[in-house]
Amino acid sequence: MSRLAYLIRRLTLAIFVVIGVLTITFIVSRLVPADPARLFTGPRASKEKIEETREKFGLNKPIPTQFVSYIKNTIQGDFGISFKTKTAILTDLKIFLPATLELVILSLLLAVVIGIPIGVYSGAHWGKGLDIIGRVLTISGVSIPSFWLALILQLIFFSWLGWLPLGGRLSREFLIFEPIQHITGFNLIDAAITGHWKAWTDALIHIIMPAIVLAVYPICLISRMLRGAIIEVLTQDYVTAARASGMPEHIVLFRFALKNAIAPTLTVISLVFAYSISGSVLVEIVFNWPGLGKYITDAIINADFPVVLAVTLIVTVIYVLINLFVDLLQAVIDPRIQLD
Amino acid sequence: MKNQKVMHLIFVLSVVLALTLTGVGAGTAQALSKNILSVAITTDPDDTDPRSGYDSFAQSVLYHMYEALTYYNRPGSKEEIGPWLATSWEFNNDKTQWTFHLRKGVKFHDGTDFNAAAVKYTIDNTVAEKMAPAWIYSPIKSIEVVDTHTIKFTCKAPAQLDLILSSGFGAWMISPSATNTVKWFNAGNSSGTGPYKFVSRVPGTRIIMEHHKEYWGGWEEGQFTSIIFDIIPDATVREQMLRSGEIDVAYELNHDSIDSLKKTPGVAVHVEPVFQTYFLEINFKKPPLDKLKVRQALAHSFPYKSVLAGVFGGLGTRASGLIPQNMWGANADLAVEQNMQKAKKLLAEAGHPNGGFTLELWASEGNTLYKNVGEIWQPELAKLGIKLDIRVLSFNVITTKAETDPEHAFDFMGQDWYPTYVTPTDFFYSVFHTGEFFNFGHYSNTAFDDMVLKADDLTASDRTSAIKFFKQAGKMLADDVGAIFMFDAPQIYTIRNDLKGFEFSPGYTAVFSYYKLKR
Repeated sequence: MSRLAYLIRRLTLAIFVVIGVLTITFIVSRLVPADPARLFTGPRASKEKIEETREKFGLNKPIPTQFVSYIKNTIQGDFGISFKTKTAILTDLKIFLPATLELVILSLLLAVVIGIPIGVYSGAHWGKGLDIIGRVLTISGVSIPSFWLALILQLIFFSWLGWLPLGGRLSREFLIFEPIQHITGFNLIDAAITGHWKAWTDALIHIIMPAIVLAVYPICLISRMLRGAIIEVLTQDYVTAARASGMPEHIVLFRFALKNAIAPTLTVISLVFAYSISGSVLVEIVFNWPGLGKYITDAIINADFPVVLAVTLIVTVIYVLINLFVDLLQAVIDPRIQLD
Repeated sequence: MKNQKVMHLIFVLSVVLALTLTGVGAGTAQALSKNILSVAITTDPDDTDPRSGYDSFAQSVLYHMYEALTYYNRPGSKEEIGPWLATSWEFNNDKTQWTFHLRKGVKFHDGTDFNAAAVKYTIDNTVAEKMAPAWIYSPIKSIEVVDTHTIKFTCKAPAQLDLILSSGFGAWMISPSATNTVKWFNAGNSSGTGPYKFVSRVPGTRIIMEHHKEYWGGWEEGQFTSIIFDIIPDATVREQMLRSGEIDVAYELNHDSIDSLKKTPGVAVHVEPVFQTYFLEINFKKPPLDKLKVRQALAHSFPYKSVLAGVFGGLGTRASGLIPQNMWGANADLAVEQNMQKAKKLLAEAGHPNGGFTLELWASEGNTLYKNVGEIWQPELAKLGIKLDIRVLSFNVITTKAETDPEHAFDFMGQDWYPTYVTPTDFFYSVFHTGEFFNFGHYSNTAFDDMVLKADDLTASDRTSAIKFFKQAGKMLADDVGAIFMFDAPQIYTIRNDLKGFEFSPGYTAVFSYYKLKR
């Protein structure tokens, strides 16, 4: 099968997945005995006003009709408005999605930069002292609840040492007096583009702690995966042959072993990216990080279903695209993999 | 060659270090932060539309941006009602015609002049849009613009209009030339005359306001030019931020922390008497709660003293009926005592000698108070053979269920109330009048309904008789055990103690003036 045909087939399937997820979320959100019209009008609205609101948003129509019009609007890029905050969801997403992506991408970069060397080193020195210490650390890293680690880091770096801020994305002085111009929504990028270096530094010191907390699990996962893969590759005949032919050990390790061991690790990295987007919820709450996680938590608590649907849609699309991307990437890296 | 590389590295590192140091240094510059007041609030206000915002969270932000015609003074002042956007007023003998003279030289945030036409516009618009607090205007028959700064109201019946217009909800004046839609107001825009105006709002995250340069009260050195509200849902985090000086004002801290905060250097605790009461609504649609004797037994099983000490840090006072004891119309003879013997006897008379049933207390999410109340009550009820389950649900779910399917809704629901404007009617009518929206327990007693309306009608013309009838209404409700009346509570404000000029009125429970503050 050609790559193009494969891509088209996968994308078509992806659309069904997205519609399926949306349908389930929509139905579940309507089963909750909460009245969206009342949420919009506030706790003390008159019955008349609630009826008027129900009419205005079409909430009195049959659920299938509502669903169809919801899908129609969504396709046109209109996510509607939040019944709780009365703001356009699209406007909110322009703030919250980049905030989460910035955090997740930075934490993933950290994970790759730290996790890969650890994995290679442990694999190459399998069973020796540092490998054993590394194994203990990585197992603990995978098992530590992220919110607990977050609180401990806050205690150390904010309360005791006073080096890093408690939470948020930017200091108040910058929010009020010298805001970063919104271009991509990624503070570090926008501040760099506009040359606002003071704000850039401020954004950096705000992102360090949450990014580290979010990176711990991927670091450990990546290094453990890679370690296992390297150990397996190093026992292969061709590695023995390479060593026997007198090739230097670092060439054996990086040119032969890593190249062959990296493919499964790439899959893990991509899946960890998707995982981190949903995993960031707890981290965002502890660090008061204004991202998707905080946004959807507020929405779920308040039964604000248009927001729940919009965020679910976005996370689903990201998951589906990443899965597709990984499969394509595998084929590029490893010619043995067939796309079908 | 190698040396060159090392030098190069040192150079790069020192540049990075220098950039970082200057960056960090400037980021915390004292000159910039001096005029920012930072406030930590619990949750995003549901609605920042001044015409419809109707909860404490809305009041805590709207008050700084909007003003009403009259002001409810702190008790002990010479007058109950003082001037605000109106400077003086007269009324005829039977209080059906009121003329207000408006303050001159007042400008809205959009630069428009404040005048009589704007007053008429605001009230007409709030009523026409059927906004939730619009009921306060129901006594008004017509509004007439006499001249640019004089406005005349004609009422359907005698009404205490100066009191009504001092309302903490729905009485905020808005500019007739602004966009004034729900969406516009909630997207970080304001059109009031108040000392601060909206700059931006990020839902669930923060609200920023800046000072309204043309504010009629003027500005002095030391007042705050910007206010930032950070939304921090966790009370412990808010407390830590206040203790460390990270924020200036922290809303709604845990009551058990108040004693220790009072002793904390740098923190000031203001315990302010307000007209606020806490009770458990009872579902009259769910047997066996429809039986008076069962309700009486439950009221006698309630551990009033332990609850007051346990959940409110001993800061409140025992409730006596619905109306807070420091408000006019309160009845001091309605407090119920815990008496387990009596409770047992009443329960047996009602046909449940050994209890044997389960009741549910529904508490709304984000408020741990009612959950704690339930936990203290559980062992007492267990002595009567009654099991109490506590469920934490969103407010919207609780109220929708109570309205659409009361037979399967709560048995008890945690509720607190303070007045829209200072009248007992707002307590009695809003929560216990037959068919009223907040009457989630479906209490219904036509004699009580009539008594409340009778008292309300007399509020303007004959306050003494009104008080007498309000007291009677309070007794009827307490005799019916319309709810478990727990305690009246003060409002507690915890702020940094370098803030001077704290000023508060119980007419606006959820807020105090930031304009008057200086550092």
